[in-house]
Amino acid sequence: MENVEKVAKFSEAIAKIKQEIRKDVVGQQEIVDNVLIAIVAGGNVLLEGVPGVGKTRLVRTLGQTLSLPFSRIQFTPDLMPSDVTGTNIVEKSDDGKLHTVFRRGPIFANLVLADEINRATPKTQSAMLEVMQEHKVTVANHTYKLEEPFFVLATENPIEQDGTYPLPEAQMDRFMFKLIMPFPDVAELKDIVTMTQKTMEETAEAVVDGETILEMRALASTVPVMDDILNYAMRLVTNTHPELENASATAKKYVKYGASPRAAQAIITSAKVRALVNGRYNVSYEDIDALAAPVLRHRIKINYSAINDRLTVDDVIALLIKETK
Amino acid sequence: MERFHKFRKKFQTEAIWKANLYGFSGGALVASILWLVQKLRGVRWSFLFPLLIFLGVGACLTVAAFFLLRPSAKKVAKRLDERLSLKETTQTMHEFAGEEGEMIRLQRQDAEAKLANAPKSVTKPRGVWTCVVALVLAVASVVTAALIPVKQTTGASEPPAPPYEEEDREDHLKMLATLIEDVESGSMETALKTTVLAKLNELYDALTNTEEEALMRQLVVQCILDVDSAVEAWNTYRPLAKALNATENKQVQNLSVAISTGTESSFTTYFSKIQRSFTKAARETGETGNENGRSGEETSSEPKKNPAELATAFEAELAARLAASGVSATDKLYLVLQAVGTDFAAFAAEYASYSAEERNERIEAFFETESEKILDPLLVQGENATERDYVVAQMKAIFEISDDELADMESLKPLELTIPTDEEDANGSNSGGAGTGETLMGDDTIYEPSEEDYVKYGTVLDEYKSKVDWENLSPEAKAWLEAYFNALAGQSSKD
Repeated sequence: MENVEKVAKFSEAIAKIKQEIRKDVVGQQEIVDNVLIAIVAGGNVLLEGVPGVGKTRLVRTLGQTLSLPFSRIQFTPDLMPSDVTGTNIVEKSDDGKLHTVFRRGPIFANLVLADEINRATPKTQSAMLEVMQEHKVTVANHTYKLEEPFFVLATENPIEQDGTYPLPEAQMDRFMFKLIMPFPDVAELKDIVTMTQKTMEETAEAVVDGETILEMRALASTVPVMDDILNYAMRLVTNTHPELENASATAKKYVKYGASPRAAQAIITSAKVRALVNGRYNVSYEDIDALAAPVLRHRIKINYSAINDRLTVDDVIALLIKETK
Repeated sequence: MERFHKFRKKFQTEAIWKANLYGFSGGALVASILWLVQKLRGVRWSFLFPLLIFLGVGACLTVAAFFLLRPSAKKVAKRLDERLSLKETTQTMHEFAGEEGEMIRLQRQDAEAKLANAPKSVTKPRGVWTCVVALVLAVASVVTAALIPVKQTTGASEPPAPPYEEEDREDHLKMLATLIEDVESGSMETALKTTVLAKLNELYDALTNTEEEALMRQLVVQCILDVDSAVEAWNTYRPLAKALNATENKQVQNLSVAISTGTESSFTTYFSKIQRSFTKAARETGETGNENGRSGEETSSEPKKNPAELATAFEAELAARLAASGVSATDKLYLVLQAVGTDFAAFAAEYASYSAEERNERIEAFFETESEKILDPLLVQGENATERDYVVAQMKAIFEISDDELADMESLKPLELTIPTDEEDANGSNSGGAGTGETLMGDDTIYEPSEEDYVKYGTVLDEYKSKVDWENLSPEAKAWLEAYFNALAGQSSKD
């Protein structure tokens, strides 16, 4: 297939997905766009928002739209790693012999909704590390490869801190984006209420399959990035590190530790997808700036000075962008 | 890329125009500033100079401006992206121009399509107002420089000269008038006096109209120099002394030193030396009644000249020196010296006819006559010099003129005469000491405490003379000191 056709198909797929999502999710356009970018780029997404803003619904709708095997794991403190990954069980075969069989956990799907992921214990959370990064599960010295495309879309509640376990940094780094779902405005809230009065059922239909997603990913990877933009993105990531010799003033003042190299990979990969989503065949500075916050906000840790100056992580990232330009 | 290159050419053309405009505007600005500065300094420049500066500086600035403004392909791409809000589309196309790939080709096509749809205004020159301002500045500076006239050198920018105060002028004129009266009643020779008075009256008149102190001082200094020059041009004893000194003949040298100061004391001292040399010659050659000649003198290997021979040599050398002096043959002193030479020749001729007993007396009488003969015109000139010195001293006092301002005075220039030592005065013999061979009579040693011994009087005197700063003495002081030392030397001989 010619790239022209691929690009057309890409745009068509994106448009269809958005259209289907709009059937069940009101507003949250930026979040929807970023989730789509992450999915095409092959990244995992951590959605943070207060209860009821539609995190779970968005992921569920997305699962329906993508026509991919979808599973939901409700993380609770008593959830065990084997409840996620699956486990070997003893079964009696037809001839009466006993043997062990691996019973796949809910992680064996293309799209996994890890609902309220911070409610699980670190032990269970850690069970996700290999899955999220390598798309593999190892149980009893046996490794099972997950089917592509594979995404983890996790949600977490920032308010309720009792009985939660903050995600370890290593796991946070495995999320391409951390998206903050804002509270809907009055018009959106009205639409939500109106829509849910009719039916609570999701009506979105599957419009894209896994193969299409993989093709879209392959296509996006070929989008050219000019050297100046690449340098800009790299400088932005290195500028988050206060410990570097020529660290930015903002990082020195407000950042405790900076983003990992995965951030640099994520920002370029997702920028390519964003360019295509927006109808461009090249990455621009605008893509980098727009994706800086989703990519960096969960990867850098601000220090007490920032808190004292009443700055959020996003404020610090904005300062870093300004300083890097 | 074709469209992109078209844009690039347009931007390059714009850069060339701008570079020329900025460059030659800068050249015009520099040229007109330099032109203006020269005009304000009072220097008149030919129109060619600013024109050449304009062309030279303009060309250099144009080249420099073009290198700064010339759009590289990357700059053009960036400019197009910015002006068309293409979000780095053109820059990416330019960067990946040499690469192949499906997506890159699509990107290139996309960029080309966007550039093809770009409005013509995208290449509209920017910064036109800056160009207009540069042009206006250049034209304004050139017009200003051309219109402003060359400033006169005595411009108001110089600090005003200190005025010649009226009160000072009155005092000065009063004192100058008194000085003029003094000169009128003075003993200067009439013709010279007339010249000097003319100079002083001229100064008087000039000072009545002088407004600046500096000009007043300039006029006074010039007047003093003029008076001095007039006197020096009138008096001939110095040039004559200089001319007579250029000889090996010690008697003529002594005569030159004798007349060099124009004073009687100096003349008497040195002229008497000549007389003594004649007396000595008479004694040494045994041609007088006085046989007090010392045995040591007679051991000299050189043949002694008798007075007649000395007189003959003196006359011949004097005549030669006078002829070479360049002094006018009508000058009184010149004529007298010429006559003195003739007298010496006559003396030489008659000398043999004198008896041995009367020779000393004859010599003494001869020199007395000749001395009076020379002193007469010499002292008249000396009086001129004294009057001149008075005028100079008075003017220095009246107008507070320093010696430094009068360094060019003719009379201050040293004559640099060779003064014959006492040994050389003698007729080829000397036994040391203060005096010459013929003047040493009795013991001429004195006790020198520092040496704790007796030393020759003449040696001490020479040492003292050597310590005098002769170079910086006025002619008067020099003459006085010489007379003083000679008197001391004469005292020794008379012991």
